[in-house]
Amino acid sequence: MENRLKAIRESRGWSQGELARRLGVSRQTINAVETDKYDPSLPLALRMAKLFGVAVPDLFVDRWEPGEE
Amino acid sequence: MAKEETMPTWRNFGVWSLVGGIFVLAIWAGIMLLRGDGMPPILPSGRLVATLGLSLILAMAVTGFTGRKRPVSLRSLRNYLIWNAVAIALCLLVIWGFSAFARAGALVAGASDWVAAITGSTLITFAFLGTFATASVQIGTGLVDDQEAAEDMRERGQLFLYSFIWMAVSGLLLIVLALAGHSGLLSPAIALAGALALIAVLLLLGILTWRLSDELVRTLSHETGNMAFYLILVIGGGWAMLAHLGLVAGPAPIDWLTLFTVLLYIASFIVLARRKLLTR
Repeated sequence: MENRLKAIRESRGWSQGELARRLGVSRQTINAVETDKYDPSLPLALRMAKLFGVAVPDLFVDRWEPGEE
Repeated sequence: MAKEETMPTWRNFGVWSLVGGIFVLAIWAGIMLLRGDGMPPILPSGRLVATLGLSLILAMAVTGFTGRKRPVSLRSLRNYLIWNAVAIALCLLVIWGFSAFARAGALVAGASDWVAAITGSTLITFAFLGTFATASVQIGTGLVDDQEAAEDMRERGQLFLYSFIWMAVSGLLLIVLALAGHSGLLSPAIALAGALALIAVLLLLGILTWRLSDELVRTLSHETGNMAFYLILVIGGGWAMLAHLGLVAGPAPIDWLTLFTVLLYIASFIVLARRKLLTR
């Protein structure tokens, strides 16, 4: 899933390792999320959003739109 | 941000191909000198030329391809030589071990025992190389060129170490069972006691590894388990089906154990490749 994690992390001046430490995951996990190789679990996505003070949809972009019934 | 100066991929491919070619030629020359054959004649036999040529092409292709994104520096050349020397020493050790067992009368019969023992030895060899890499990163010798991989090994050394020990113990389990096969080098009672002890170690390592894993590793682990199940169903099931129909020989019990182990690693590679986690 497309996400803005890298941009938001860099705007804080944090390295991947620093963010990983704050979230209690590995740097590999942060790298995999940023490169769209892994979608985090809902609890981790919520923690990321809380840490950056943004809403989850501001971090993870879902282009799906509900169709006409 | 300053643009990083890197050589083009094709030039890296060329340089590392050359390194691989020179390395193989040096190994050949070393083997000939050790065997006392001396230098080959100016016009050696066709078979020698064909074997040497094929080895050269294979070494150049593999080294060139794997090194296409690798920087060319004294450090990377040193690392290449050290890793290859360690790998060759381990292979020679494994060959020596098998020769010793063969001389002792073990592994005299049963291709299944041989395959299990070779699979076990291969796992132990890879586990040793992995442990060596993790240890080298921890003590800061710079033997791992990939900085991201080195950082992961530094941060999660314990997890890597437990995983490599798990790999080695699973390999040892196969070897113990193989030695209790047709050759009967180990009695079934001793082999069973050894196998149970090794399985207990595997369980303990599995629990420790799980506790150290974060959600990415646990997700990959779940996916590997799922993929391994389907691989076993298709390959093992297909083999059993063909054997049931009398078209091929049925798998021996130890074949199943080898199959489970090998397919687990194949499954993990498929899972990593599907997520593109094998490439940067």
